[in-house]
Amino acid sequence: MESPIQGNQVRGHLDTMILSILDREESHGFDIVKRLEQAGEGSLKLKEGTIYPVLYRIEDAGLVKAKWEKNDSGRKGPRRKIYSLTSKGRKKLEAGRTEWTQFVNIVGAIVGGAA
Amino acid sequence: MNKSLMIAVERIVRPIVAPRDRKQRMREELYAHIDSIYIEEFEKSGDEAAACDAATTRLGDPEVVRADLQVTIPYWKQTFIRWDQMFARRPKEPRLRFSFRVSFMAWAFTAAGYLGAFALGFLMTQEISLLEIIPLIIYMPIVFGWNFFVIAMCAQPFLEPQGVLEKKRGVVLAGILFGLSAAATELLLLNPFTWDQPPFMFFLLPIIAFIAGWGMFVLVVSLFRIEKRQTIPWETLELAD
Repeated sequence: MESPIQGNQVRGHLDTMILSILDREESHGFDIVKRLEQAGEGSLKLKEGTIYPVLYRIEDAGLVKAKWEKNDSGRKGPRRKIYSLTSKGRKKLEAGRTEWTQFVNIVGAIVGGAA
Repeated sequence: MNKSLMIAVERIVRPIVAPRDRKQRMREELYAHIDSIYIEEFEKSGDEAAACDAATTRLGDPEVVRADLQVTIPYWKQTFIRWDQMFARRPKEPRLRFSFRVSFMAWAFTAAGYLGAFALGFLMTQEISLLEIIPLIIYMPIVFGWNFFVIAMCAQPFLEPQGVLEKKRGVVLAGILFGLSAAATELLLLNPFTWDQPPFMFFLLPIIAFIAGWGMFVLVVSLFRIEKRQTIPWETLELAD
């Protein structure tokens, strides 16, 4: 089995990864971590508390907006913030995807031995 | 709420220098998260203690999460919070010591303000009148004494509210004090200082103006502090190490 990717290995890309998750559906922190790990097919292991600094940073930058979960959801337990993407966040996500493609093309070519 | 989980969250959040509302939000979000992990882990193991340990581990190293959260607070806000904390009562600080410390700081800042104004006046006019310094000499001990009295008397009900003063009453009282201070100041401005003034003008009006103004300030600050009540269950948690 492949060795899992730890959170600190994807730190620089966590913003874009979270934006990408939120592009599909609005979510709270725990759900975002679950969906990131599911997308990583078990190979991505995050220290879960580390996504909140990222969420606060991208919220302050206007890339996402957050609202407290409504009580009528029928869920018992502490209240949670629900994050959703803003139009600025969508643009940033597009830019992030382009940067990522360039990164993979360039670094992949070097590391893969094609250069 | 699960106290062990609250402690795990509070270990991360308490040392962060951030506005109270942001810290409270961090607490609530992190608690909601760790609670979800705990439920998941408990369903797997059926062991409360093991689920709690697993939840704490999955949340991450408290120092790393704390450092990352701290970075999200702009530097200017951190500076403001540190300044504000100078005037807050420290954990387990005796009331008299707290009153003395804050009174001294208020006295020092007020004296520095007066002296700065005098220095500016001297630079602009190249002369300084003894008449301008006398009120400073008279009022400075009063400033200190009054601050000490007000803070010592008000610290307990305001900083650890026990239903002694309701917020609405505090607002009304602050308004009355503001009116009193403004009226006394207005009277003073209409009657510039001279030696032949009656004692009422010389002593009473400045004292009323100052006492009422300072009392209002203390009340307003205290009203903000009452807002802290919702954070008390978190802030009083013992984080034994």
